[in-house]
Amino acid sequence: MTTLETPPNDSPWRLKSPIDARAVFIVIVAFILLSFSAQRVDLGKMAGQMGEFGLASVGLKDSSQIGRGLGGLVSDMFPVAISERTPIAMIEHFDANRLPPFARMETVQVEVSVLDPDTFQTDTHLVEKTYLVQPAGYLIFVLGKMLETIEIAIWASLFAIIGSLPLAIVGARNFTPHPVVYFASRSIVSFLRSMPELISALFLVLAFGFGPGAGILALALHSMGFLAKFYAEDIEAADPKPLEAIRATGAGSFAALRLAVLPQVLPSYTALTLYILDRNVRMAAVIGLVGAGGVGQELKGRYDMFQYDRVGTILLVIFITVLLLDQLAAHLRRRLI
Amino acid sequence: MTIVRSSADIENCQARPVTALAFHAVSQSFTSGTRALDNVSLDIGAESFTVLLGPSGSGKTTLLRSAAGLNTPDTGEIRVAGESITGRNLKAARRRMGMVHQDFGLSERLTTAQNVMAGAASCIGWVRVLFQAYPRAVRLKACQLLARVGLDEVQANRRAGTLSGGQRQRVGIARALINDPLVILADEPVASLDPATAHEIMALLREAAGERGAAVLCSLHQIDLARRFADRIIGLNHGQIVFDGPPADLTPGALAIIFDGPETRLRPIVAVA
Repeated sequence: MTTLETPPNDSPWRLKSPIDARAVFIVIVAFILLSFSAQRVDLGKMAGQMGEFGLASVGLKDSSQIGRGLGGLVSDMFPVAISERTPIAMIEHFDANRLPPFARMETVQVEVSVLDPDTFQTDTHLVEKTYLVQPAGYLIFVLGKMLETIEIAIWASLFAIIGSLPLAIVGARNFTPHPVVYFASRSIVSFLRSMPELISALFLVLAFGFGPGAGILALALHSMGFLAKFYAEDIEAADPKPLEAIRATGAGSFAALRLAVLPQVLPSYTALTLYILDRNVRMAAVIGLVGAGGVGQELKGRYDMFQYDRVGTILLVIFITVLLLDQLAAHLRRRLI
Repeated sequence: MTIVRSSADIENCQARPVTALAFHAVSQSFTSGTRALDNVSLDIGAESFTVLLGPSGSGKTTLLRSAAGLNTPDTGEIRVAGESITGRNLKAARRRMGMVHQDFGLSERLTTAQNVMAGAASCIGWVRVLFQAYPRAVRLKACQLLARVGLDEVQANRRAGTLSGGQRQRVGIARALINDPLVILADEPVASLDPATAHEIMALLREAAGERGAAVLCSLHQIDLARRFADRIIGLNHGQIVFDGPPADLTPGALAIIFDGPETRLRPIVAVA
């Protein structure tokens, strides 16, 4: 009967340490590179401003640049614009007997100065102006734009799912018909993913004109790249045993994919698709900035016109929508997986 | 069985050939240099129950996988009912074989019944496969087979992942039988089961296959199960057949040849106190 060999001199063997010289070296190199980079990006200035703001906010300093900027913005933004007030003269086919729900008319007298062309004197006289006041008019308008943004995101995600499935199947090593097809698919996927939505939207707006079409396409192309990459990786990582079992029955690739791979990857696909949908809603708001429709386009317009109270409304709507969608996605994920 | 087949197929099925599965001079080496099969020639008689015995790495799994066309031998030929399984014949040949896997090979998120019917997917159109809308005949057959292997309607509609190991292998056997195979290839079907369950599953495999006239080629590493259920035992070592005979001939000497060949002396097992 042999016994277990004991370590020599009752000291432990040399065991592998998780931290070695190489790891320390990498950390030092990274530190040096980062300190160079910090100078290049004016990190010092940013830190100074933050410090100044910190001192000012506890009362140790009179004012700070960030404080002044933020204060101005906040006072311009709040209260946010909820109602809409439109001069009746600007509404085509206005019918005072058929007002929109909850709307009312408001007549005010306004001083108007007019230059008399004969005397070159300014005459000031009172003019009656009638406005149509809708108490929640602007909020409803922004909600409509937000809905458009969500619609853009849904369509883009739908096109992305449809487009990425074939790319993923031929781009998965275990299902590709030929290595050349595999390489082509993976190249297309990399290209699609490397193109940021904002930049492709910029060019697609030039091609398709302003509006949701360009936005849908820009988001769809990018998400297609993302989904195809991760769908393909899931197919590759699927347990090969059920796959072999189905193949051994004489079934073809399609049946194997449907009956052995799809059931395995479905939970992960659901999670990925929900993530893409969630992300597309946020990105659809962003790409509106370059004119690709939805709430972003409205945001950009109001921002450029310095109407910060309306910008505030839009930001609040975006924030609340994203929050709600997050909850919805989490709920769906729990239900479906 | 009303899965549409050509009349020639049906005639073949009715007139069972004497040899269900034949290996002729099959050799296979892996890129690592291991010679998994070395000039193996073997005939598996119709309706027989043959057990492959041998130490790990002796080529049992490779032999079974080559028969199912899951790997292609370097040289030699494999025939099912007299027809070579290469190239175009592969799919047709696979339909005449059923395979039972060591780790069951079930799609755990499909139901038990869907897993059994999946075995018949090669005989139906892709739209039906896509929606898993199997013809009535397939559904009926799946239910009959599930009942035969001892599962009920409730279990048929549960996800395969929720079943116990023994139940999963029952599903595996039902799936292997759905195409009315000539031969069932079973690759260590009871390796992950406890001894009592292993015994039940082996008995079921033998009976269910026997009733349907399917030969069984089954690899095992439990010598007692091999003795109990086999008509014929094939000993493999280093990819060569070193024993071929009925269980009665499996003497300690024969076992020594199968498991303790001249090149691999099994290390004595050392107990650690």
